[in-house]
Amino acid sequence: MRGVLWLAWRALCARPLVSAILALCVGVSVALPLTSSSLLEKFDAALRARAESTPIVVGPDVSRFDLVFATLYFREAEMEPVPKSLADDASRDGLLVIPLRTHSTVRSKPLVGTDDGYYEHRLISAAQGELPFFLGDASVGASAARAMRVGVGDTIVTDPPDGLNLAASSPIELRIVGVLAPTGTPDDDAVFTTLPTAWLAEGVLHGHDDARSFEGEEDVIGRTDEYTALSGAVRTFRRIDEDNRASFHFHANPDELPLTALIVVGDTPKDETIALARLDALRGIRALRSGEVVDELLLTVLRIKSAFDTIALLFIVTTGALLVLIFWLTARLRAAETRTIRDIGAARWTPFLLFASEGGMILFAGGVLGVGLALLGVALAERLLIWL
Amino acid sequence: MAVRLLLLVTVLLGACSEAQTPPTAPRAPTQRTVVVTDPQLACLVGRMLASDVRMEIIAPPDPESHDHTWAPTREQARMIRDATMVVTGGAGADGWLDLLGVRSDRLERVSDAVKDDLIVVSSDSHSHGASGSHSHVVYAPRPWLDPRRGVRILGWLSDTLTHEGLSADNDERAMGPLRDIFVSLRLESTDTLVVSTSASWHYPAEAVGASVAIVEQGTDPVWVRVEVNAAQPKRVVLVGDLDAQGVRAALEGSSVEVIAIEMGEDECSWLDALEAFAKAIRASE
Repeated sequence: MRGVLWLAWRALCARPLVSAILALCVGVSVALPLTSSSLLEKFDAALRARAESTPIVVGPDVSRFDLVFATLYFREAEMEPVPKSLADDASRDGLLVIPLRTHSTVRSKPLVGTDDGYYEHRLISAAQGELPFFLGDASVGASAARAMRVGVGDTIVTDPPDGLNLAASSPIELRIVGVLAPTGTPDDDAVFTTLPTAWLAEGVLHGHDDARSFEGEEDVIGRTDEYTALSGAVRTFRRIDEDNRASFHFHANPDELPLTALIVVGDTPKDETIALARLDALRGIRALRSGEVVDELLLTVLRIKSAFDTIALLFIVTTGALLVLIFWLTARLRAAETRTIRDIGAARWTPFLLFASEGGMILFAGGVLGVGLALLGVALAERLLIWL
Repeated sequence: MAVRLLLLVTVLLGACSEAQTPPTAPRAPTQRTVVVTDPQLACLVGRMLASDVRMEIIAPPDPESHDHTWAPTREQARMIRDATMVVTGGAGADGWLDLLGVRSDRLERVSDAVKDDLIVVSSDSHSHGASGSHSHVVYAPRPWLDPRRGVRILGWLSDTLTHEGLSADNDERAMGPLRDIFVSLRLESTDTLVVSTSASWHYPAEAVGASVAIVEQGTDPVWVRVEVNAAQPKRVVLVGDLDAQGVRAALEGSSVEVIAIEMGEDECSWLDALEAFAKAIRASE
């Protein structure tokens, strides 16, 4: 038997290109279903974990998918903001209410304005430095810090809100006070700041020199004993420092400050059900369980997985049929070799064992290659998908 | 279906990574602390807190000011962040606090107890900057100076502190004297003019039906006389750092009685001032 295996190995080595192509075909046939299945399991687990830690999402009355994924994954969506007063209204009955504002970006990373409740709830801590608290502070997620090559003490500038809108607020400079410990969630790829800083980035809040110090006509459009009305030409501060920090002020009713959404967490499922019913009944407001929306989305995932599985099965069957055909034709082509083996006194089954051993070796090599490709595929999937 | 697929792809971008290290929750402070942003308010809160709760006062030099001229230090900001509760006067006099990332569920504004019943000092609507047209409404700060509102605020404070387990067991004993002072102010004196350097005195003045003139510190007594001539009161109550001698001299020859009330430096001196005010009003009955 050892001799047959040696002959089979030598036969494969004699045709390296053909052997490699056959092994690759088998490998790809194995890798595809393994990779897709493993990835989908990971996606499923990640989505469910994120949804479970975000029981109720409250926001404007828009598509439930837009609302949930803008809240869970900070995805951009065409959504009107909800007023800050909604957070006060929602926080009755001892619920934990976490406000979020995700309107601006920093180097294309979402700038997430929130408060300490978010970090406590998601168990986020600073690996270096601290969490943001002062106006102009920012803490960067682990992946975002790596991608932007920034650390504690560096500064980053918010992206211009709209390149064509001359009246839009100017980008502001944020001081990095912390780099967050990695969590393996979308939080790693975001820049976190306080709500006032998020509002500052979108121009709801601004700072400038004392209004009374302005004299020119282009800066002052009206003046009374109590007030000085400034024009839009007044230069606002883009950098927040110890000297100008106190000069920042809101230009909106505090109750109407914009929020993207709220995360509401109750002590018990009953608390959450009551809160859900109460908040969803508010005019123009949508409250929903993120888990239900994710489940709905995962049904689509399952359908896609079924399609993948069917395609993979067809692929395996086709590859198998091709392999059988190739080995059959090879056996026909190697008829002289078979005769020679018999002529030199080998057993009747030896040629069959030889071809079977070659096939087994191809399958084994293809299987190992397939598992390797699958592992590599899963490891590279994140980068590949982000690149896509 | 196509939208869902697109959504799915975008969501999966962020979903496919594994946790690398188990995160830990931010460290909780060991002792419960309540930060109060107004010394006057600290006088009320301090009487209601449980003995194991520490109180810190973090306030600008002039807690009534609406000017954007003060911000806490990083050390003070950390204290605010670590506090179990931050109690503030509200009514727009604590704009500096709005610039910090204070958790809304730990921030208690006592003005919320009377938010539909605050005295508007001035309002203005104008436009500048990218945010367009906007309004500024300035409320008189420290609504607890009015007995009616004060009692409501005390009740609200008591409920809030009790709900968070920060209240002392002898809550009523602490609040009783305060209620007595507030109740003693339930008088009426429409022929009184209150002249104060503090806009918060709109509240006690309104409580007794008196008219009010808010002046700047060191105002020339002649201007007080102008106010008196306009209001034609029987008595003038001067509150705060005003030149009582000068006002008396300026009003010499008129029948207007001048009563001066000092405001001390102590957190609770405003209660003494209120008592003195009530006494003056009672004496005029």
